[in-house]
Amino acid sequence: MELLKCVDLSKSYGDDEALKDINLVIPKGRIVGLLGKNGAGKTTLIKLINDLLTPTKGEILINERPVGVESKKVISYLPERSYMNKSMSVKEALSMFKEFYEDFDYEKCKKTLKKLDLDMEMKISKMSKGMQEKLQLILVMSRRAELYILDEPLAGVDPAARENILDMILTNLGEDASLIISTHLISDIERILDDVIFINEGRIILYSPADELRNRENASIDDIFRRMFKC
Amino acid sequence: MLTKVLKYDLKLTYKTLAGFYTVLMIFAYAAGDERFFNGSYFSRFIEELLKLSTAALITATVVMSLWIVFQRFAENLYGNESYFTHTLPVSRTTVYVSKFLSLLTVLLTSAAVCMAAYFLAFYSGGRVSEWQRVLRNYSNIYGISIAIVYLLIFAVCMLQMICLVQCGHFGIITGHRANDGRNVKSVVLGFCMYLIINAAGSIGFFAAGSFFPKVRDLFYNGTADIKTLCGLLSAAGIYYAASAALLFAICLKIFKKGVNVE
Repeated sequence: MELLKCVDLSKSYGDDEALKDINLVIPKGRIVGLLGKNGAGKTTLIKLINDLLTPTKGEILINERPVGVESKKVISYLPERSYMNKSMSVKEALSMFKEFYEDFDYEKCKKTLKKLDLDMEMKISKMSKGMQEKLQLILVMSRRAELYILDEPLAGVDPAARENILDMILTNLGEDASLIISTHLISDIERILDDVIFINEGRIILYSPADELRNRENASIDDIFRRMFKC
Repeated sequence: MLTKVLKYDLKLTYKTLAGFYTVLMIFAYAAGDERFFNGSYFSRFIEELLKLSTAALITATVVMSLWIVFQRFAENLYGNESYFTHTLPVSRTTVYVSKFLSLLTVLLTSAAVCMAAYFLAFYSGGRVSEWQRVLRNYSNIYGISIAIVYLLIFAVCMLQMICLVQCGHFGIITGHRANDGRNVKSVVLGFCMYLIINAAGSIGFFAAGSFFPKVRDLFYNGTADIKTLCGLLSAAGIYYAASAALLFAICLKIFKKGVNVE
């Protein structure tokens, strides 16, 4: 069953077209890598799905309903920036998530925070960028959402912690839940992907199951990406 | 959901303002308590210094309250925090109404704290009864309670403040629909809206002078009897309340159309 559907989706900033006629269907239970160069339109697409941008044309359907209050109940989104109020403590952030999201698992979140050595009483303003990113990721993944959207979740994380983070993502992902993950660090996430989407200049140039693509091209996704975009 | 959004909004707003309120009240209390001062030259100097500081802190509290209201509005709806706000499972109307209620609460509490500090610093002890006597005298002379005039002035000031902040909100909402120069456009549009509202109010005031000679006298002599003053204040109050309501409806309509967060 389709979870996310984009129909003729376009977004322009004045004369600059960031996304052009995107048609996309993401079914339930898939892990999708959204890959592309800087400025390709990955974040624009993600922001449109999360109602942070208004489409110029087309529509987005989540569980066959337009983006709105109901879609926000089932989407758990991690932006590429720190979005929590800095004056809050970790504990306050947890309480806030608990109050707003019915699917938030407070106990699981607390356990994961402990496992990753994050102090509940610590103020967000006192945390390093990497710690803030970890906290946000834990909060987002502690929801039992239907669709997780992670925009550059590994960007500020040291290479040693990346494996842990990916394991945490996989552990917390429900069977029917889908995950869209946007990143430049393709080699790090390659192993977990079911499907890949290559996006360039606001258009989807490739949407394929990851294994099929690897077999067809006889190369890793990272190599195919590099070849395609001549990195 | 509105209660939850409002609760967090107020909590984060008062985290900053509470400090200001506390410092202001400490200074006001120290400035107004006569037991601290023994009448010596140095003691008199300290008393005046404390009163001056209280007056400065009252001004700072008003400015800070307005600044925080604008800053929270912009950050929460269009800054980094907006990534959280707009992905919450709440409608845009709830978010906007919460912002408006938060603005009302902040303005009212800041006004209450500033007035309390003012009376504490400048009208403590025996001076309160003296002030009451002055009010009674005015009341006898003009045949209308001066307290009502003060109340009307306070209401008009509050409504004008609400209107001013709504102009700012209008500027931020419309300015952030642009693709570039959003901050500059927000300030310019908000300022223009405020000018338009006040210019229209002044024109209305001038037009009223054509029909009511007592209002016209204000233009010539700068004085008016207290009943005319009350009438003008009431009219100004209604005008600012209507303008704020209209701006609220316009802002909400634009906001509901969607956002474009950077």
